[in-house]
Amino acid sequence: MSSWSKLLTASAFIFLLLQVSIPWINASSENLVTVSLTEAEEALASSYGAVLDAEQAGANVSGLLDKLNLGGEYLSEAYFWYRSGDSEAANHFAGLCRGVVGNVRNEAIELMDAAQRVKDAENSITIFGSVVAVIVVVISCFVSWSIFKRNYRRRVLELRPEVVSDES
Amino acid sequence: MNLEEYHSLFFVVTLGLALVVAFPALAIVKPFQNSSEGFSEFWLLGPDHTTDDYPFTVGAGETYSVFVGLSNNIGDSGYYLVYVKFRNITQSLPDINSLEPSSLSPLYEFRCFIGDGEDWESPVTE
Repeated sequence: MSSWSKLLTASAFIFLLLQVSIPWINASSENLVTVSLTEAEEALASSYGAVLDAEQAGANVSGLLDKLNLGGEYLSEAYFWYRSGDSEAANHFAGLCRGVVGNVRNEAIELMDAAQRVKDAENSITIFGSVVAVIVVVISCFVSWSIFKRNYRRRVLELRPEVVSDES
Repeated sequence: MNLEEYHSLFFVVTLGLALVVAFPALAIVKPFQNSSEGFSEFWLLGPDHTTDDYPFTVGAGETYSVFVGLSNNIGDSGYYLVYVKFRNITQSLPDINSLEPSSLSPLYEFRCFIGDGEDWESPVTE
């Protein structure tokens, strides 16, 4: 047997041995659809979390909720076709869901940052105004008290004791 | 009233006015907690959008109209998932005691995002 034929035989033997000894991952279409559905689900949930944070920061998220609802409809359709056995349609709708909600998270973060900046500015103005107002109130009351005390003492000093004759 | 009493009166009035004008800043530092409890509503309506004429007895090949609705009053936007299941009289019901849903596979599911104070409704069709 020549060296090339020996090498070929050995290679074939090793290849067959590997096929049996190492567990190979066989990515069937059903597994791919399951992965696709899971990814769409996670994208939708993650985007909703970001939208919720933005809403709690004071942003107007009505436009983002509309996009999430569209993504939710696509994902519901995807699960419907998956349960009906149509993997291709399920994959298609899962892809549509991911496409719709893909940018929602970033938009929500931008809205949240903008709303937070506005809120911080408003809070700063409010706190500054309150501090100034407290100082004005305290100073005004102190000045009022000083004036009142001076007038009160003047009025007391102007009072002359009156001698009442003893009629006994 | 003597001078000491007037002094105390001025002090109390000053303190009261200072608290009033400082209230907006205090509200930022210590926000008011809304203690009311949030809730969601769920309803199922018949073909006339009423609680009458629910299609209890159905046959194959026929079309029936039912509406499912949700209302969000929890204080924030909500993510709701509604499973639509179809059962006959012999199949499993949800377990009320353990709060477990029916083990039947859903025919369809609705995924909706509802803002606070808003409603959502959809026809259930197949």
